[in-house]
Amino acid sequence: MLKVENMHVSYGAVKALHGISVDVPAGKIVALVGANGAGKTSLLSAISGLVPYEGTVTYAGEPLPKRSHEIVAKGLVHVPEGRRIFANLTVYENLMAGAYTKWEKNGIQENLDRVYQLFPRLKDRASQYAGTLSGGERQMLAIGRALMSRPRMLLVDEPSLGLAPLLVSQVLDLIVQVNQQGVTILLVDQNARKSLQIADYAYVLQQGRIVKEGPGQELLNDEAVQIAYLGGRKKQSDNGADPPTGREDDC
Amino acid sequence: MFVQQLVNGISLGSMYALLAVGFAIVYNILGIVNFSHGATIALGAYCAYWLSTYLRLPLELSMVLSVTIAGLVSALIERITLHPLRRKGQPQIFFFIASLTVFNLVTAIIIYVSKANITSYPRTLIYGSIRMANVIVPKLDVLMLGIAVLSLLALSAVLYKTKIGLAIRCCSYDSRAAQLMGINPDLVIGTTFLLAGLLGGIGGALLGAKYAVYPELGDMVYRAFFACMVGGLGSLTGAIFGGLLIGLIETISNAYINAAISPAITFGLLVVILLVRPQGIAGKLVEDKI
Ligand SMILES: Nc1ncnc2c1ncn2[C@@H]1O[C@H](COP(=O)(O)OP(=O)(O)OP(=O)(O)O)[C@@H](O)[C@H]1O
Ligand SMILES: [Mg+2]
Repeated sequence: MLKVENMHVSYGAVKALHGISVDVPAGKIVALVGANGAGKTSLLSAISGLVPYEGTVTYAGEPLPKRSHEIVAKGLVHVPEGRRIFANLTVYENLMAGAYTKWEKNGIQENLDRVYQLFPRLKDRASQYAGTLSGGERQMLAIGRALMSRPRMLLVDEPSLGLAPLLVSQVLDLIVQVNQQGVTILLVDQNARKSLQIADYAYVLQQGRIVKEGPGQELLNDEAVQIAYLGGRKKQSDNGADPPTGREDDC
Repeated sequence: MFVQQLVNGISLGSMYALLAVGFAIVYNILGIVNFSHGATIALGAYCAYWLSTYLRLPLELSMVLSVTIAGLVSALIERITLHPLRRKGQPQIFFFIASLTVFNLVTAIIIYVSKANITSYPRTLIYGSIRMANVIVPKLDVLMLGIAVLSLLALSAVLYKTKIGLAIRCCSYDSRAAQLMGINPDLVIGTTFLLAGLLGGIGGALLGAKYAVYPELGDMVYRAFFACMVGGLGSLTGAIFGGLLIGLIETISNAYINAAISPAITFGLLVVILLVRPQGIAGKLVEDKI
């Protein structure tokens, strides 16, 4: 479904990705694991057009457009790190924003019903400002919003970041549920163990390079991976509030 | 007497409110103080003047056409000056300089074409006054207020009831996240400039009817800027409050103190307000950006 070949990303003098290749087959969940700063977000942002890159990205057999809004129109949607919900809009309006590329009346209602079914909490909060939601609810909104465009594929970045341990598991289960509805997933999550468990295939990223890849189960049992990412001391997840997403300088 | 001044002030203030809201929606979406807005104000008055004087179109029709032209020119200004800067990721200060340059350029062209004359429309837009008890209000003031209210209602319908309005609000909050929704930022920014230009054009055309048509009419943009600052930059409600406040202070100091120093009093008072409340009047009351 999505094929990234020899992708390079740099931010000025800082090189974040040194020619990596990733293949996401249709209908599967593919996970990316790696330490902080390994380049996971850079990869997703490059695919979704937020960051310029060198290399080729093929999607559904065609070269992927380079501009974000054109990419979304193709059914490839990025759920960004930090959720980036529109705090100034209501929950309902956030979902409508997600439906921007699928604006037909009947379709919207159908998609809205599906999202509400998946996240009943969002229905209760529909008329509330999104800025008043809890961290978990924001994540539901971020995923729900992405689903409003009926995507064929989702890029999901750190969906469980900042959530209580119980919710971490729930959010990742939801990703599986979305996948079972036929959406291909490329997942990055701080909870490496759980994301390898749900992944069909996974890549290990280290300082902008892929150092290992294989089926999720295989990497779970890999000794080097266990020591580096699944070690006895569990990675600390901060349960602090979401950093406020401010305005961006460019548009 | 005082009531009469109050009505005059609100009517004038409603014009400033229109200009200020146009200024604010652009600020929200690009984060720049857009002085090219002044060009659309001047064009709003001058195009109506030219169309009605030289093409002898009815004044009302000329005004409608001129407002449309102002809107289109505003979108065009964005397309040819700011868009390339945006594409190249230039710093915000360049946007500011570009918009100020465009404003000066358009003013210069108007001065050249009009030979810097102060003129007026070939006929009055509307005659007479309305009299209630001892209050006499010119019909033009009532018309201006009515048009301002209708324009603001129309704008809010666009922002809150339409797809493009939703996109504008998304982009104003977080343009990258908006792009991830499939929103085309160029379209949204272009539309925002179009809306701002329409508001500027309406303000310009009507202020031209109230006062006169003169090249420095575009300087009204500084009042719009101040109205936004006083109201709280980024807040549309604040911009409306700010516009009304400036209109009131100006009218009242004009009537009771001295017309010559009225601008000094107005801006002096506004500076005092900003010293006391740097975040603007609505800075805390109104937190929504749009
Ligand atoms: N906008 C930017 N400007 C400059 N450097 C950046 C920028 N974004 C990321 N980087 C750098 O690129 C590298 C990769 O960052 P990236 O955000 O992709 O990592 P990540 O794997 O997502 O990390 P985390 O797990 O902390 O989210 C880091 O060294 C980071 O400092
Ligand atoms: Mg990251």
